[in-house]
Amino acid sequence: MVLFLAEVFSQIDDYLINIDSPERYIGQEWNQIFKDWDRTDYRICIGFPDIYEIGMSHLGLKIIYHMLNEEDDLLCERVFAPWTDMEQLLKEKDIGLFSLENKRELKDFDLLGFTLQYEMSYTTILNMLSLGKVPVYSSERSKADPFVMAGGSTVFNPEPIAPFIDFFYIGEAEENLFNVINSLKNWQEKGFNRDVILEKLSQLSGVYVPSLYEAQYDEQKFIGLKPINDDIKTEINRQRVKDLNNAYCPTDYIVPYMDIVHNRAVIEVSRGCQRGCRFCAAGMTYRPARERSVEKIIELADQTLASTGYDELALASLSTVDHTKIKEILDQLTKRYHSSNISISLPSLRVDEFSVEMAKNVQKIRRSGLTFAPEAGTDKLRQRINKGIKEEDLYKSVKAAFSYGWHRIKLYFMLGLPGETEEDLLGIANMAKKVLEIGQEIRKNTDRRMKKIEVQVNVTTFIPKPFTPFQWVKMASLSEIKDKINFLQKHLRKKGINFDWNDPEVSRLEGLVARGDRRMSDVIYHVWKQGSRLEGWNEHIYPERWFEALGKYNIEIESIIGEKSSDQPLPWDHLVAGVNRTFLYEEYKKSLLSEETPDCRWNYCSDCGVCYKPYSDLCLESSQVIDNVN
Amino acid sequence: MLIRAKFARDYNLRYISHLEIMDTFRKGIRRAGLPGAYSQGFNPTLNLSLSQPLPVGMAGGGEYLDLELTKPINGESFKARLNSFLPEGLKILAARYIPDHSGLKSLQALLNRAEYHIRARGKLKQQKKELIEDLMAKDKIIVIRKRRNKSDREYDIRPLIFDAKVLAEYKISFLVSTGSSGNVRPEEIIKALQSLESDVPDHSVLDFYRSELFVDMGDKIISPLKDQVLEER
Repeated sequence: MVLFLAEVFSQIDDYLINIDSPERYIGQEWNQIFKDWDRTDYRICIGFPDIYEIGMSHLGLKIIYHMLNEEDDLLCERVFAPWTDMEQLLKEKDIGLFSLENKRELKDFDLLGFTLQYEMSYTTILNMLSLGKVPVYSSERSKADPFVMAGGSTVFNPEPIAPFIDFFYIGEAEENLFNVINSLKNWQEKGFNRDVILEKLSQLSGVYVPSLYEAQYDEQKFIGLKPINDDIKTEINRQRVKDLNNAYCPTDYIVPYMDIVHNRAVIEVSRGCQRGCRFCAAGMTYRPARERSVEKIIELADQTLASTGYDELALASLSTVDHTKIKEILDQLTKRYHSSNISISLPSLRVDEFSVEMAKNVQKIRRSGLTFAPEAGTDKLRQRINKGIKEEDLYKSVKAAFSYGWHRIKLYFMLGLPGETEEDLLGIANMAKKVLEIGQEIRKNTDRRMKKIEVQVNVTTFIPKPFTPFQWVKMASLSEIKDKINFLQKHLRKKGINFDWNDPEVSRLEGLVARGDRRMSDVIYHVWKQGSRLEGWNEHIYPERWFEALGKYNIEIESIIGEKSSDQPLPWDHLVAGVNRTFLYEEYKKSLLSEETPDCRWNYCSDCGVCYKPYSDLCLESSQVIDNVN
Repeated sequence: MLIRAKFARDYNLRYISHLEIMDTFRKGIRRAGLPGAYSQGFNPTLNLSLSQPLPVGMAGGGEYLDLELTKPINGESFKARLNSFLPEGLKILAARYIPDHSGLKSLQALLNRAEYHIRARGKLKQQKKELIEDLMAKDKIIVIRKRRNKSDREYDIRPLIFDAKVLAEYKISFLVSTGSSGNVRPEEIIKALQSLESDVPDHSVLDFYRSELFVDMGDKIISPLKDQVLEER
C-alpha cells in the first residue's frame, strides 16, 4: 500500500513528527506524478528556492512539471527549500535534500532546474544545492554531478548567480525548454564531457551558458561581457510563446494537503502586459500581451476544476481585467459554476470602476478588502512612470467599492521613484485621507450595516530594474527612503489609516542583486556561507552580512545601483528580451518630460521592438481592438 | 439523506492533520461528482463531518464520516466511486446510505469507544503480558492531566479502560473510552504502565494506531453503521 520509499526517506520518516508542517516533505498529493526511478532513463528535479507553500503556489513550476512528465522516458520531480528545522534534521542525519516523489537526493538526478522568482532567494538556491550534495560552483561539478539550470522572471539579469548555474534558459518554457532538455539528455547519454555539452548547449536558442563568457571591468566599472571564443553567440534571445491557445497547459494540477499561499485552481487568461508602466520589469519582458480565447479558458477551467476538486477558481495574469473579453469570460464562468458552489477570484485589479464592477460581479461573498496600486502620489509623477491613472480614477473606484460593501481598502505606493518630490509624498497622504473620507461618508449615509472604514497604506522602495526604462537610474539612498517613510508616518497619523512599509534596507539588497554584475556572486556566496538562506522571510535576513561582504570584496555599491550613462554597457546587454534598448531609453527620456506612452493595443505602435512591425501575428488581431472600443 | 462511511487513513498519510483530511475528502467528493449537500450562507461548504480527530502522526483503520446528500446514492457505488478519487492512503472501507437522518446523532456524539494498537518497545515488549495483567488488576489508575490556564488535575482512567490484549510479539491493544464522556489517550496508558514499571520507555505517537471506533450499546459495542445504532434516535 505505502509507496516505495527510497532509503534516505525511511531513515528520517519517523523524525518528521518533530518537524513543523511535515506535509511539506512527504509528497503523495493527489495528481502527483510518480514514475519508476529505475525504469526511467532520464531524471530531472525542479526546485523552487522557498518553502513548499510558496513554491507550490507558482504556476510556472506546475506547467514545467506536467510538461516534462508528459514524456515517458523522463521523470520530473519536485523539491522545495526545507524550513530550518528540517534542514537541521537533514544535516544531523547526513541525508541529502531529496525530491518529493521518489525521495532521491538531488545529487542523484541528471538535471536540476531552479525557478528564479525574486533576487533574495539566490542564497537559498546555493543552500539547496549544498544540502542536496551538489557542488555549488558550476566549475566544481564533475561528470557524476547533475547539470544545474535556471530560468524564470528574474533570469533577465543572470550575472549575480552566473558561477553557480551551468546554463540559463531565457524566456517562456513552453516554447523551447523541451527541445533543450532533449538535446542535453542525448548528449549526456552519449557520455560527452561536461565542457563539450555546455558548448553544444550554448548553440541552442534561448540558452545562456555563463562559463563561456568573461566579464570585463575597468576598476569598479563593468565594461562588457565577452564570449571566450568567436564561435559563441553574442546575443541570447528570449523564447516566447506565439499563440497562448496552442501552448502546453496542464489541467491536472497537484492538490496539496496543506493550505498553501494560493490554494485554488488557476487559469492563466493572458500573458504579458503592454500598459508600459516604466518601473515594471514584467511589463517589459513578457511582451507582447497574448490572450487565451474565451472558449479555451472555459475548457481549461472545466478540466482543472474536475481534476483537482477545488471550489475556487482564480483568473491569473499580469492584468486580468485587461483581457479584451473579460466581461464575457466572467459572465460565462459565473453562469456555468453558479450551481456548483465554485467561487471565482480576480487577483489583480486595475484602478477603475470597471474593475471594481467585475470584482463585485464574481464575488458572491463580499470579502473584506480590495487592493489598488496607484504607485505614486500625484498625477504628475504617475505620468512620469507611465501609470496612466488619475487621482479621480482612484476616488471613483473606491467610491464604487465602498458602495458595494467593501470596507477595507489597501493602497500600494512606491517610494524613491525618479523625480519624486515632497509634493508627491503629500499626495500619498492626501489620497489616503480622501479615500477614508469617501468611505466614511458612504458609511454614514447607507442603510445597511457596514464595518468601520479602514485604509491600509503600504509603501515599498522603488528598485530600478534591468530591462525597464529606469535601468540607468540611481536607486534612492537608504537615508532618503528612511526620511520619506518618517515624513509619511507623520502625515498619515489618523484614525482609520494604517501605514506600513517594507524594510528599505532589504530593498537595497534586492536592488544590488537585481542590477549586479558577476562580482555579486562572491557576495552571495559569502552571505550564504555565513548561514543565510530563506531570505524572503524577515526572520532570516541579516543585511549586515551583505554589506560586510560588499566591503570584503571591495565592491562599491554605487557601481551597481548608481546612475548609468546611456552608452555604458550593462551586465545584461547580451540578453535580448524583446523590447529594444532604444525604446527603453526613449521611454526614460519621455519620463523626464512626464510624457505618457499609451498601450499600443488601443493606440499607435510605440515601436518597442517586440513585434517586427505593427500588426504582425504577435500583436492582437485588430478585431479585438474594435471589440474593446465598442 | 446521508451517507455514513467507514474509512482508513493509512500510515503513509499519518502526517496529515484532521482538517487537511476533511479538505481532502471534500475535494475528492467534488472530483468524484458525488451528490454532497452544501451548507447555506456566504461560504457554502460540503456538509461533511468526521469522527474524533486523529492526532498528526497516528494512522487509523476504523474512522468514520457522514456526508449529507442531495440525491440518494447506493453505499457500494459511493465507496467505489470515491475510492477512485482519493489519494493513496485514504480509503473508504464500507458505506451505508441512510434515507432519513433526522434525529440521528452526530458521529462524535455517538462514538464512545476506541481501540488502540500499541507497538510495544523495550521493557513493555518484554513484559507485555504481565504488565497489562497488572494494569487491569488495579482499582485506580491516576494520571495527571495538564489543563490550559488551570492547575493540573488528577484523573482516574481505570474505569475508562475496558479491555487489554496481546496481539503479537510486539503489539498490544487496548479498548478505551473516547469522546466527551471520558477520553483516554494512548500516551496515558503508557504513563500508567510506567507507574507500574519505571523501565517502560516513552512511546511516540507513531507507535500508536487507532484500529477501530465503536458505539457502546450497553450490552455490546458495535459499529455506527449497524441497524441498531441507526434505529436509536
